[in-house]
Amino acid sequence: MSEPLLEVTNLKTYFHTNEGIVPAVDDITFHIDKAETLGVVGESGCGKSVTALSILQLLKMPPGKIESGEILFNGCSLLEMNESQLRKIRGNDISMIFQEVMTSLNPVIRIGRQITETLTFHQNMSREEAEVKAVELLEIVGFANPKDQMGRYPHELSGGMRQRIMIAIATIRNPKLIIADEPTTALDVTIQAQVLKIMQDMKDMLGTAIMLITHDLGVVAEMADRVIVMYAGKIVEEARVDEIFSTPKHPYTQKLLESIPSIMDAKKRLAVIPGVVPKPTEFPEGCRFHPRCDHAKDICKTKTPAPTKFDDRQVSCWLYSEAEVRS
Amino acid sequence: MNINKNDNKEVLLKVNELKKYFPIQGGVTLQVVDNLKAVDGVSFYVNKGETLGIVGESGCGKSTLGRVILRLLDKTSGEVQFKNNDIYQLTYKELRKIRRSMQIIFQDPLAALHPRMTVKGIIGEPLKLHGIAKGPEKDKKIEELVNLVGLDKYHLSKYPHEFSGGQQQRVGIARALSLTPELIVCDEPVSALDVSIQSQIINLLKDLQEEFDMAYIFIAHDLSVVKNISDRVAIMYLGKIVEIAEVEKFFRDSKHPYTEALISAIPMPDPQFKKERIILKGDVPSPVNIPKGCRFNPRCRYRIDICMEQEPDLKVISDNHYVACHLVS
Repeated sequence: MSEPLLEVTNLKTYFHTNEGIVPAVDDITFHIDKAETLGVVGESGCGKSVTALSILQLLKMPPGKIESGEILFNGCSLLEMNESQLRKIRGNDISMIFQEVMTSLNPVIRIGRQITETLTFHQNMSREEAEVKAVELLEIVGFANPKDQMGRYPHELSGGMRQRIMIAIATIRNPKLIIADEPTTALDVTIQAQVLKIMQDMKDMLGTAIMLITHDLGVVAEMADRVIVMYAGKIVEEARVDEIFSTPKHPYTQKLLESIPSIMDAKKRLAVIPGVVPKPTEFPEGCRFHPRCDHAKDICKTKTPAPTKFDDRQVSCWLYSEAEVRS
Repeated sequence: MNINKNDNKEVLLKVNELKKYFPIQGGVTLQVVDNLKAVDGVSFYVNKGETLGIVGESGCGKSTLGRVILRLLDKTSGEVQFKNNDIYQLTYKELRKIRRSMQIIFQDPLAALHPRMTVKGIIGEPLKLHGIAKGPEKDKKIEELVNLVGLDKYHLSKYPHEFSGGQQQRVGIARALSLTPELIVCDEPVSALDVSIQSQIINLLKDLQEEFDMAYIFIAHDLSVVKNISDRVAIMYLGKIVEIAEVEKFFRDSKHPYTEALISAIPMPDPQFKKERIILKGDVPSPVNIPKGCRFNPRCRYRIDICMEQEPDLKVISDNHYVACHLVS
């Protein structure tokens, strides 16, 4: 088995709001191996972004609070680090790519300085050296005239170009893990294809692990080695990417896969998951998917299912917990 | 271009060489220095009861096109014929009358619904304005409409912000339906919704179409969604239609290099599926400085000399299949 790079155990991140406690991430356990791409799939409000922000402790606290759990990166506990130790990890060993590129780049600072800042800050590199490295990197992420780009401001670039700049910033220190939160959601398909290819190339070149958060199952199928599916703050299923798509086990994963239109299918009626995603303040008792599930039984309404293991995959559903007890 | 129809369905909407330019003002005197050519000579037709998908990337002019068709924005030139009436020749009064038959659904349902009106008010407003129903009759009609779109009677007294995105979109659909239109322009109606909610709305739109025999112009950037709902698909690039075909032919036998790249760029929800991906170079050019010749030529991998000189016309290549490319004949 390959070495785990990041291990998250029983993580709980709650928000303490005026309307009550919001269990945005509720007792989740997963790991990412070295040089692996882990896809994190789920609909809005399922806690996938909060999970990412919890790892780097970029959450606004309060109202957010990491209630309990453990996050080990290369064996070191991130939750026990102080702010200056964390700053060394951020951008150095773990970097992040966000969906809203315009808000993650500083609008009044030229591109060049935003890229080199990481180098001069973390590595005490001189301005000139850093600039040479930045130009090299811009060429790798597909800019035809990298020197000219260095002097431009973010608003002068298109969405796809900005996202490529973000990838350059995220990879400049050869991090061990990149957390990409919906990196291509705001982009057009042809630009998305460009950006995904660059991410894959960078990964192959540097051997970086990627935690790829997305709601697009197509992107996951293409990029990920392993997938976790989240629903209402919980991980409902974890499996290798081919297993998720060929033999999904959790009813939510099954329905989700059936409900997406594909260009391979003929014009047909889509499968539908009835109802809506529950609000975080109103998560149902028991299995959180049960009000929308076709297979819901009495036990689903009262007790939360624990993960059931099948070889290298696991699923949290009463359908399988019982099956295992019987066999 | 002349669209020669060779099926015998009844045409509902016919658009001919439609253009919409947005002037760019500059200098101290604010004279027009340039034009943003959002829609730059578009022709197509929509049959009664069919769905035409219009696909393109951001900034290609697809939403502007939807609005110019309904005369929500004024055209620059060209013709829009709805049931043999030229929309732009009508007086305000006549236009209002014909607007009953043409409605629109927007991408952001919350922004499209009045925040301080209840659902009952929102759906009842068109009925009141067009003098279709009053009093108890109106209430009955409103109830029918909410049931049609899968909402409940008790939702009527609620405000838009109390609903989820999918439900808000249902309210928007009910409002569009209230005047029993013959054409609905759906401008990215599902792109703001979660995957599991998307399929609910797509199925609802299909059911309603079957029941009321309406035509849809379904504007979207997601080809998979468009494939699922459309009878025919048109691809737009920088203000022009580059290809129109029936949906089956479209995905089997598309001809334009841009269509080819667009289809190949879609990530497939199937890890086993390996395909050759065509990565287009660069970004979509600005609609202010449209490249000379074929507007796709700077990104096209099959470019020949003529592409940089002459703009290709949209030509028929087989039944109901139109392509604008020098390499296709």
